[in-house]
Amino acid sequence: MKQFKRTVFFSAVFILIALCAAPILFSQEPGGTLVYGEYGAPTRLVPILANDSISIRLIELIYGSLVYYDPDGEIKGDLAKSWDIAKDLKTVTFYLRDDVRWHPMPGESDGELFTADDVVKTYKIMMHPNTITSLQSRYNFIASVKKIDDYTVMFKLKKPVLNVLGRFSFKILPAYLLRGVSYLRGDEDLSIYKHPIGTGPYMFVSQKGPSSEIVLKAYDAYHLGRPFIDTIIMRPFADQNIITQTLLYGGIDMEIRVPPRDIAEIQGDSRFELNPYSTLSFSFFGYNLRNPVLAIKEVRQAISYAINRQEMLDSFFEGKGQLISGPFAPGSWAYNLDVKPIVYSVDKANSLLDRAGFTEWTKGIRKRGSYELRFEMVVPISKENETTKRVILAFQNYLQKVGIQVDIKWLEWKAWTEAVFIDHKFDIIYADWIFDDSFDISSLFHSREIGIGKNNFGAYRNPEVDALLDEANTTLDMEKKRTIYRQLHAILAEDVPYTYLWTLTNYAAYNRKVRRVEIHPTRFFTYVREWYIQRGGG
Amino acid sequence: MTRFLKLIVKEVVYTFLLVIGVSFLLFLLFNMMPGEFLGKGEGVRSFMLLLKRLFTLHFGVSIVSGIDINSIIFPAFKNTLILTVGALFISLLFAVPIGIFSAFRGFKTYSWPLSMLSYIVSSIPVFYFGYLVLYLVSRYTGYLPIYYVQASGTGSRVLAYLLPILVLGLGNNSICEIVRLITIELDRVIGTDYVAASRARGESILASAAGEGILIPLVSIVFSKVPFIIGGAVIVEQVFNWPGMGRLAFQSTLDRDMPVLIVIAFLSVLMVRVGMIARNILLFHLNPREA
Amino acid sequence: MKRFYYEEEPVDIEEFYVPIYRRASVRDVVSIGFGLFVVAYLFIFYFISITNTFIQNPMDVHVDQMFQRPSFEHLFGTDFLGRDIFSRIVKGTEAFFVPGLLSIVISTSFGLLFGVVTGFYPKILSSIIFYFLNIIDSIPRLILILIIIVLFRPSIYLVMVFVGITSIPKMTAYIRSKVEILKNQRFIEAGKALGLSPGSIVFKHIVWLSAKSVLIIHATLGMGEAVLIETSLSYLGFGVQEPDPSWGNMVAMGIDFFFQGRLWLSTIPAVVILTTIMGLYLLGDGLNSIYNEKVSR
Repeated sequence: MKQFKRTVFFSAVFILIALCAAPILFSQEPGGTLVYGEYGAPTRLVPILANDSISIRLIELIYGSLVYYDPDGEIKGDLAKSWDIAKDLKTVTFYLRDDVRWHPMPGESDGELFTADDVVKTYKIMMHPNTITSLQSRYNFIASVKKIDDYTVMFKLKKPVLNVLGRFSFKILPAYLLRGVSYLRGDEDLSIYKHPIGTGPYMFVSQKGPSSEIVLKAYDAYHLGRPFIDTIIMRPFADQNIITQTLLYGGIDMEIRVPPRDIAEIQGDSRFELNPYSTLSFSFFGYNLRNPVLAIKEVRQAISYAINRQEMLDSFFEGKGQLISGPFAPGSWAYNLDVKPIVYSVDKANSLLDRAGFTEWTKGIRKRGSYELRFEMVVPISKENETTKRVILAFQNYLQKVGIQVDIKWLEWKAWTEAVFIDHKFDIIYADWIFDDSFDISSLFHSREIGIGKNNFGAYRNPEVDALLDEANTTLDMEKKRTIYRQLHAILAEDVPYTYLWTLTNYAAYNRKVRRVEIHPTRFFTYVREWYIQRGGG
Repeated sequence: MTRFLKLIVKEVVYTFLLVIGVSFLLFLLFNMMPGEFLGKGEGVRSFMLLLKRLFTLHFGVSIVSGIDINSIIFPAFKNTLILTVGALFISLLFAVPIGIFSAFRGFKTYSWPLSMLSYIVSSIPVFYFGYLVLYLVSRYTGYLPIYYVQASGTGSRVLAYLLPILVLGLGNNSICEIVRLITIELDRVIGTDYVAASRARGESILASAAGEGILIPLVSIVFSKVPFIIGGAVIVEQVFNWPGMGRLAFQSTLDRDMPVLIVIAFLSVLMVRVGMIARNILLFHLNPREA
Repeated sequence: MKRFYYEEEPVDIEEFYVPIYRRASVRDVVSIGFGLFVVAYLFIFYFISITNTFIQNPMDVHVDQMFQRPSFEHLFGTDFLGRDIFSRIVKGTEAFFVPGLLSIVISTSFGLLFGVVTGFYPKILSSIIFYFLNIIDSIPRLILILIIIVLFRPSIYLVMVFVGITSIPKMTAYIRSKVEILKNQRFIEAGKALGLSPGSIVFKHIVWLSAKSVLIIHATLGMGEAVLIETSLSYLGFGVQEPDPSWGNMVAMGIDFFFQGRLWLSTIPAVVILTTIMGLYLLGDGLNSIYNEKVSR
């Protein structure tokens, strides 16, 4: 009897302990280091000035903004605890948190308090005409900003805007470190360039030079709760093939973007997890409609029919993506599912070209009078050149079969930007656009965006499209906006100012010990607070 | 003494002029580069400012990242130094014996395959060699010898340092150049009366020829490699992810980071001239006759 | 064969006149043989390339035939776009032949010119020339070439011109040291005493003497160096651009598939590069040892 009681007693204790231990074993534990690898290096860790994805990802870790979107698409407050939108929809007031402190400078224990001054200063610098940034066009719906008190900021808008809250996603800079600065060009001797200070979940610790790793540490006093992972280290790589190998051999824990050709190798390895995310972007061939031959719609349509997009997607990207029929990502609200992607048909292409009058053939190239179907395609020598080269050469090959000759001109990246956006000296380009959540395509296709440095590099003009874009931008009715965009989708699919190719699925790969990974499509680390490292193997 | 001083002064002035020349060239080239970037199209005044910054050793900040140039360049320099000096050492280690063997008639039959082998290795494209080494090492040992070896503990630090040095030392045409030089010089020297006389005296060839035949061209070669030591090996640094000067210079050119590039060139010029002076001094001591 | 009585370096060891067939050792025969083999296939490939008489079109993209291993139909397999690798190798000689020659012509001719000039006028003129050469020498070579490419366009001819230019300083220094030694030899004084016009004849003799020791070796090695530099540039993305094939850009594009086990894409061109460079070098070495080497004892 005694034996039995003892057994029961110890079993009970054991079960009790197990029950307590279980949640500990499976809950998020603090600690650990996450090392992630990027292909390339960041330019600088300062919002407003930095525009490239690598810098944006780091900025997402270091800095905060007024509001952000949670994984379900709801607006949540980051630096703002609540907000008010006036009835006329032209005034937005943010009530800021009073418990936010900027990261402490090295050597200090506490940082400065975050106040409305910071928001005002950031906005003023961002919109200053001398500041070198591309953000100004995104925020010029704002007319003015006013500090009401230390924790209240009021924005007055030029006119009502749909879903205005989500637009306040710009990162805030510390005003106390920018005293006397009205604009930023990038060549000033500022401490924030050397040691960024923000209000985000991670603090900058060190960076020994642009090709060295960047070390970030969790910010204990982070107002939304200290993140679990203690340290995040970013390792820049100069060679893309080496990144995947380094992941496989334990040199890094996470690879932000796995090139399609390496996916199979990681998939087969049970130590790693592949996490797909889309980046709200699409790839396309863009045409310069200043060229009289390309201004002929049938020519552009013929090109679209002459290429086998599915074959390219399958062969070069392992099929990891989706063909599109218009300038939107397939998952977005703007995409019109009724508009079907153009089917591959060499016959249709040939008949379109015949109809356009290009019926004479000389040396394998079609001609009409003195106009040859011969185009110059300008391509940037960029780092990710394997798939780019394959797409371009396949493109050249497909077009050759219908009598169009494409001459490829390779230019270094900055020279390419100059040729496309400033000099407009090109016929065709292969590129992709990356969007934020608002999917505003007006800068791509509106006729007032034609000009030096503007995004309508192909000089596409369609008054109907202009009118629809303007209407979409002013309407406050989400349904109406959706309808307008669907119409735009149909028109732009018919007009083919671009040949729309596909939206790719990106894959991040990481060691299984990293848990609860939720990835933001454009900024990647927005939800990093929830990630944790599982200890003890795995 | 005064002769010495005069020499030094002459060298300093020459170096001064050289720095101005190199900076001017780079400044000119940069201003012609396509694309919009900070610092483009600025005129003579900004060139003067640049020179002033260089000569006062206040290098300023990088246009692209805003970080102090000092904190960018010196770590990179240290890394490159490890790589290139190590590589030079390896090159010499292999090339000198092979060169010596080739020069001596007695060894010709054996040395020929060896020197052929060294040429073969020298003629492989460097990055391919690097990849091959990485592939074999990683598949056979389970380690990937990249510079940043470890996040969580496994991996071999030794390999990560050794392999890029090995690749750079063996590849890149260095061995073949050194072998050739030593063979030719040694051949020439063996034919002189000096050596014939010492052989008549019964001394071994190596001892007598050593003084002249090897040391002098060796010293010349080592000091002529100074630009290489500075500029680093762009390719090997990319493959093995070594954060050195070569990679920095490459990235700066693409990013149009003129301040960084000019400082790199400045350092390069300085080191080359210092190397020249050191070499001349050394040669003077080794062989007063041929100074 | 000696043609001038003074054409010998001042050595006291007796020299015998040995006919070629005795002077050539086995090693030389093998060297030259292999070298000629390489030159032969280079010419054949170049010829095929220019006249476009390929069996398989090197530019033909067949997306459905990518990554095929070497077989009878495709001797070296197909690449990442289904193109036949063997014919691309053949066509690759075009990117290497003329531009490579261009680079060695530039470096040799200017190297000789400057070397001789600075050898004869060691004072001011030499200082000026060396100043400019030192400027070129001080900037790391690959970076200088990169800057040039960024300024203009990735054109193989432009690149090779600059490869040649960056080789000039070394050549100049080498030639100059030879000239300095030679111009003080007694045979020059003898020539002057004999009344040979100082300018052209002495010049010509010195130039010839100093150059011949370096010409063959430099020419052959220079071609090899040109290929390797183009290969490095291709790895960085700035070499010969697609769709034109060059051995360098084939190796560079091939390594993207290296770790996946598709080794032949980059290994085959690398082996071709290796063989070619070795062949050229051996040719130069063999010829050099026959014509220039003195046989002693």
